[in-house]
Amino acid sequence: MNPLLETRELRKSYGALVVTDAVAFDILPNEIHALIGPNGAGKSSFLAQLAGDVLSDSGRILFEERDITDEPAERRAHLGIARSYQIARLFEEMSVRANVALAVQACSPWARALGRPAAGRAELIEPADAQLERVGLADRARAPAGSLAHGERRKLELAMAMAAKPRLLLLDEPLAGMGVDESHATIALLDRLRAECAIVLVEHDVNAVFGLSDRISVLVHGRLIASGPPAAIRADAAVRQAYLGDLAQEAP
Amino acid sequence: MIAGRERISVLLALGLFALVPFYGDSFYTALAAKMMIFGLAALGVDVVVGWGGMISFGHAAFFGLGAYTVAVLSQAGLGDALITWPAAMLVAALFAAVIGALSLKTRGASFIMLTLAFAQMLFYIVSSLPALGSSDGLGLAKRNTLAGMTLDDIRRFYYAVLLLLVGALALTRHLARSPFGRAVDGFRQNEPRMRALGYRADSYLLPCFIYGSALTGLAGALASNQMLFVAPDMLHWITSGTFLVIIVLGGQRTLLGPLLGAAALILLEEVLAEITEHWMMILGPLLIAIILFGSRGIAGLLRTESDEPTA
Repeated sequence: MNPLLETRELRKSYGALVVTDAVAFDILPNEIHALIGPNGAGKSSFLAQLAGDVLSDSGRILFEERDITDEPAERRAHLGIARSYQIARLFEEMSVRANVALAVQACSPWARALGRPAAGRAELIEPADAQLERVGLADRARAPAGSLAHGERRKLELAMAMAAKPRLLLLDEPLAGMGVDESHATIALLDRLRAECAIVLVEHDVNAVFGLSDRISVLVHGRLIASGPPAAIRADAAVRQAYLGDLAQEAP
Repeated sequence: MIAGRERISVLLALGLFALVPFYGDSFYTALAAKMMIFGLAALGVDVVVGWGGMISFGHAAFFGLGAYTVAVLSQAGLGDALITWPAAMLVAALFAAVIGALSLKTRGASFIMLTLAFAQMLFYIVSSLPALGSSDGLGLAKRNTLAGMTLDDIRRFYYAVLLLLVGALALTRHLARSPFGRAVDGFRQNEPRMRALGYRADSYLLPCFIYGSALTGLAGALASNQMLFVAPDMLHWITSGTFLVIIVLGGQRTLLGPLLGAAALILLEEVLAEITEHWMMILGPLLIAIILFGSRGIAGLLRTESDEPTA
């Protein structure tokens, strides 16, 4: 099967600090491919380069065999790449529903944007409410996004990313700040989401990562030191030494 | 975005303005017309600064362009508002397209400086062109006619201005609530997120800039008609500053704010100037208080909560 997205020799540094060092990464359609590694390993920087928020210094990024290395973020979004942020980036003054509706609207043509009020448009509201239902935020639809609790903000991030109906979802710590129940519900949701799109998952919750992922790649100091199915990663000596350590023993 | 309470205050304010010519003499009618014209100019600035989050310091350029367009066309024998006023908007919009496209390559302080630089450039060009009256400006022989009807009677002119203001407010309200307006609001609140969602800034912020500038250009056309005179001062950065003061005083993104701000500023100027020539000394602290204690200005005092959920 051809990869949905792959990177070749991807490099990025800030001065002397190398955050992405010749990374060759790929993800198949409908695969959950987790990216783990210690703090500062360059996971978020890597996601930012895939999304186009940050441009790489060298190397190529191919999406569906098309070179998108030099495409800006908004083009990549139209090609089917959506992301959520580690620190939730919301439209704080808008309602929760309006946040998701804005993500839905991004897919519709400009010319349709001038007519009737956004708040009364079923073609925006209904898909938005459907996403809020999925993440469990339906009862907060009318609240201002700025008033949400931490876990709720993560859910809204997820709803906005899914609203674009992407083929590749880049999730940066979607479980951070969630309670146990919220976390379980979100893990179940991500598992079901596999049927709709591929997911690059950056997450610190090791149990969730090993439970969900088809493949796991380990990033240390900007370099990929291992890549493979969860069982292989758990058994990998280099990974144990560099990162997992006692974490792997904790995992069931 | 617009609560029922705000709808009532908009209708109330416009109703009051509609009554002025019945109760006021020509002095007060002219004064109220000036308020509406500056309110319209400031509405255009609020579209760009308040809604779009683009701090433009060059809006005097569009005000002046609108005014000079009317003056130049009048000299050429074109004196009907059906031609000259849309022409003023078109000229302002064309310049806005160029200035906006270039300035929007930047954000923040650079954007402020670029819009300011373009406007000042235009100010010096106009001040030095003999064909445009150089620094003396140009006089208009008489007011524009409207579809052949004379507007020399201040009350007739007044209602023409009121009608245009109502139209501009209605159109702006419509656009602010449309998906387009929602996207512009999104860019103001969080531009990187908008880009990650797939929005191109140029497709939303530039049209917003052009629309706002066209409104300010129309206000310039009306101002030249009221004063029967245009001068380079209209293009000067101090005029841009006055527009910004008006929207801060009146309240940004409140629809009615620019009109209330203009009314308040012009009223303050009339009243305070009677007391002291240093009336700016009183306006200054007032502005500081508004900025520190409530960003929604006068219009913000009229509503129960500063921001309603938008859907």
